[in-house]
This record gives sequence, C-alpha cells and structure tokens, in this order.
Amino acid sequence: MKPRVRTGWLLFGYTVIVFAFIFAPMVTIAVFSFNADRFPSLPWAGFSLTWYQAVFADPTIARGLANSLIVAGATAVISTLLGLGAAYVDYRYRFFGKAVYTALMTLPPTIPVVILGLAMLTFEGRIGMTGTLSGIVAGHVVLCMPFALALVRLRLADLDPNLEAASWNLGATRWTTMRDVIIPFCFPAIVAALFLTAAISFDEYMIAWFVSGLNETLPVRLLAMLQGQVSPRINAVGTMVFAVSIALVVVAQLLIGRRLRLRAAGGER
Amino acid sequence: MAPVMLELDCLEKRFGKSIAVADVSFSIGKGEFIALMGPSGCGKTTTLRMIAGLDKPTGGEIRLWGRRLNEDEPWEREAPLVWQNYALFPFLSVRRNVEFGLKQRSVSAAARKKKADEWLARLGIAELAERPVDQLSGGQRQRVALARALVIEPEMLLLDEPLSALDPHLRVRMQAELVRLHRQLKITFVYVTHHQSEAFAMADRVVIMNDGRVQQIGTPQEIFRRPVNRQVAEFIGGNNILPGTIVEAKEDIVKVRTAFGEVWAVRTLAVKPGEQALVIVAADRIELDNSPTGQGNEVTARVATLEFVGATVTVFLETDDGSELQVQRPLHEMEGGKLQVGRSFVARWPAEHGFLLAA
Repeated sequence: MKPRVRTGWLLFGYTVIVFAFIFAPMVTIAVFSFNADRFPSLPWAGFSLTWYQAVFADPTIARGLANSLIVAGATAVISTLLGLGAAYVDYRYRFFGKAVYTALMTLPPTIPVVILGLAMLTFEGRIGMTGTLSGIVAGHVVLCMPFALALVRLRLADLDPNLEAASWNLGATRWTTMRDVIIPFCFPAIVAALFLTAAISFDEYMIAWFVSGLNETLPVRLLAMLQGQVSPRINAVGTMVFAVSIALVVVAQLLIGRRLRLRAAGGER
Repeated sequence: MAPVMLELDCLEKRFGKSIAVADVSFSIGKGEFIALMGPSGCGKTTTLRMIAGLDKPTGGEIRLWGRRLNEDEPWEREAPLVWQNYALFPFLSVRRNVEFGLKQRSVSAAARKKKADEWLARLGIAELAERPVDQLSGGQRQRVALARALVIEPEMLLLDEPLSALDPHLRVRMQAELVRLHRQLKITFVYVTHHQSEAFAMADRVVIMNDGRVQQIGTPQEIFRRPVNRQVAEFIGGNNILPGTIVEAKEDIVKVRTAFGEVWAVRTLAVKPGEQALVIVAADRIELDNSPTGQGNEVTARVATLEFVGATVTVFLETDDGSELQVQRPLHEMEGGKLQVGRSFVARWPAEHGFLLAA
C-alpha cells in the first residue's frame, strides 16, 4: 500500500515537471504580453493591453491573420477530403503496390519542412503559383493530408466490413453507401481531422515563408517582425496564435477522446 | 410443388487456388423455407453470399425466375440478408436502421417512418424505435435486423446463422418466431446454419454441404432416416455406422460381418459377398432388453456412458473388444434404476432398420 502511494506522488511530480518544461516558455510569453514595460524583465511593471492595441492597429498583422485563417480553412477542408479518400482506398481495396501507396501517403511529415518548402518554391515557381494563397494552401495540404488520413484510417479500422456489404444488400450503391454509411461512421474522425489540420496549417511558417511572397500569413509576419526588432507586440501576437492553435487541438482531442471512451465502454461494435 | 423461383446451376466459387463452392446445383421453390447446412468452411455461407451478389461466382449460373443473375450488383437484387453479427448501423437509431432500405428506394420520409414503425411493432419492439442500436440486447438486435430486411417487402429473405449469437433459450423462441413469420409472409427463406436442430426444426428442405459440394438434398425426415453417404450420416449424428464385410446376399437383405458379429440389413446397395460396406442403424431404432430373444439383430454389451438431454437418454454401449454402439431411448422407459454404468444389456433391432452405404 505505502510504496504504491509514494510511486503515485513521484509520478505526479514528474508529470508536473514535464508539463512545466513544455509550457513555461509559452506562459512566459503570455505573461509578458500583458506587461506594461517594453522589456521582458522582472519585476512586472503592471497589467496593460497596450501591446494588443498596437497589434490590432497594425494592418500588416490583420492581413496576416486573415490570410492565415483563409489558408487554414481551405487546407483543412481539402486535406480532410483527400485524407478521407486515401483512407477509404486503404480500407476498401487490396492492390499491387499498396505498401508503396501507403508509404507515399504518409511520407510528407517525415520530410524536413525546409526541404519541403524549398521544393514547393521551386515547383510552384515553375507553374506560377508562388506568392498566391493557393500556393500556400497547396504546400500545407501536402503536409496536413497524412494527419487527416491517419485519423480517418484509425476510425475505419473499427468499421465492421459487413456494414458496407449490408448497405449494398439493402439497395445502396457504392456512392450512396459512401454517403449513408462511411461518412456518418467516420464523422467524429472527419471533424477531428478538420480541426487538427487547421491547427497545423495555422502554425506552419516554413513552407508559408518560402512560397507566400507578399501574401504573408500570421506566423510569417511574426518572423519578419522578429528579424526587425524585438517588440513586446510579438508576445501579444504569439499569445493569440497559441490560443487559436491550442483551441483547435483541444477540440480535435475531445472528439478523438469521445470515440475512444465509447469504445472503452464497449458501446461501439 | 411450388413454382421454381431460384436456380443454382453448377455454381462454383474459387478464391485463388482454393475452391469454396464446387458444382452446386439445386432449385428453390417460391415460398419455400430451405436450409443450407454443413460444418464451417463447407461453402454454405459463400453460396448465400453469391445469391446476395456479395461474392461473384467463378462458374455456373444463378437464375431468378429464369433470368441470369450473375452480373447483377448486390444493390440491384431484392434479397436482404440477416447477418450473423446483425451488421446494424451503429450510428443510426433503431428506426433509422429499419428505414435504411426504404431510403435507398426513395420512399418519402413520412412513409418510411410509418412503415418502419409497422415492422417494429410487428416484431414486438415498437418501444425501442428511438434507441441507439448499441443499447440493445442480442435478441433485440436480431429483431431489428429482421425488421430492416423485411421492411422492403422482398420475395426472398437470406439468413446467415442468425441465431448463433443468442443463448439457447432465446434461440428456441426465435426459431418459433421465424417459422411463424415464414408462414405469414409466404416468402422464400434461405437459411444458413451449422446447427442440425435449427435446420431440421424449421426448414421444408435441407441442403447438406461438405467441402464445397452438395451432399444431399431432402426433407429433414428423408435426410435423418436415409443419409446418402457416410459424411452425412456422421454429420447429422444419431446414427451407428458399422463397417463390415458382406457374408451373404439375398434379394432384398444381406448378412454383414461387423465388430458386433453378423447382422442383417436391407440391401440398399448392389453388393456381393466379400465386399465392404457400412451398416447404418439409427440410434433410436435400437431397443434394450435384459436377455436375448433370438429375434432380429442382437448384440450384448455393457453401458459405458449415459447422456441425458431433455426427455431422451443416449446410452453408449461397449462390447468386450471396445466397439461402441449408441442407443437413444425415451427417458421414461429407462426409469426405475435399472440403467447403470457397467451393466450389461442386449441391444436389439430388426433387420429392416439397418441399411447399407458404400464404405
């Protein structure tokens, strides 16, 4: 009994320390974004929204935010659709070279983003897509689709193969089965994929930096600001970006978690 | 005999090199309740899936009312299937599960709901309509699966081991319910099972399959009383199979030397003395007595084990050289303490209750 209690506390302490290490820098940024003093140093000079006002007054930041939201939205929709299709092909069909197909599908996140960004720039430069928002979206879809694929595939692994056959048997064609069985069944994973890919796109700066040209997204704008001067406005922008991303990821996690809980309860079969 | 509705003609299904179904031919009459029975892997489920269009035959033909069906997609056929694991849609309520087939047929929402509710009521689960299917018991899922299949008013219902996931008590009740439904709806039932009791209790005709081939087709009584080969005799159980050598052949009966001595049996095969054959004697055709009377075939043996199932007792007798004979008697005959392991009895059956099968 006693050693167990001690182990429990040790593990708890360990977890706290790990989380502290992960979140301390971000908490620091958030804290100093409300600091009245322009230098991030202690003691705190008092609560102030000055830097947020400055941020909202800056049209380049507003445009960056708008661009980021458009890119994130488009990326989420496109990569989730492609991910759903790819996962379904993986679930449904067996064919020659399937291992290669799956490997290629899941490859992009393992490529360093610098390489990916450079490759995108070279390729999109040739077809005249650089400097456009669609150029950034294309790059982000390449990066995000594997995550959508993974989420939907995880869900499809739980799909009783008889369900599709049952649907055909009751008069549904392949397409109506997709609409009435596959998509409803995968719905939680699809929504989770939308949020997760939106979060990844919203955060991504390397590919965006390479291909965005004048159409800067928010992280690219942030980078440019950092290179110019160290302003506490960066803390304010960083805090907002972090808040948006964490919200998207938390929603995605909640949806995935709900599914797992249902399965743990033996509810879904 | 009802008009022929569905014909399977030399049907064959290969998966790569292995043959799941070979040369299966039989026809099903309109409104018939037919059971495909056999051990697992015998090809019965594959045959059913070919009727539903879920597996494509690699040879032969399926005809419905004389029209070739092979190339029709599953959704073009009206042959709903009740699945072994029910295959209900987990993301839909009970009512929406039942409505599924109607929705595919573009029935209006109001008409769908009305029809679904009618069938749920008919199967005694009207109160479950709003429930998610994952909150249902096995028996309730079974009824939802039946309602979902029957709501489209098919002329043929396919059932793939529908009762195997239920407990024995419920299974017997669902059997009675299926028979009642079949009688009321007057549609064709094709029922796949490996349970002899289910097939024999419900079906008009039974198709026995083994190794992808049809072994025998007939009414339950025909198959039970006259299995056509050793595999069927073993599979349906309740038979004594005595290998032996023909000693003497008369016009309609033969004398065979078996492990139990020489016995007389009906000459159902054209055999000559010296040839090998099997004598088949149904366990319920054998009587037990205390002493020999010199009438019919008589074997003296000790009781080795006893099995009581309901009102029937199965007595396993063993001779001195270890040969076994099973005898089934009504329990009431055996009451009064005379039935004990180790006690000797004379097992007796008249010659006309033994018949020959090829060895």
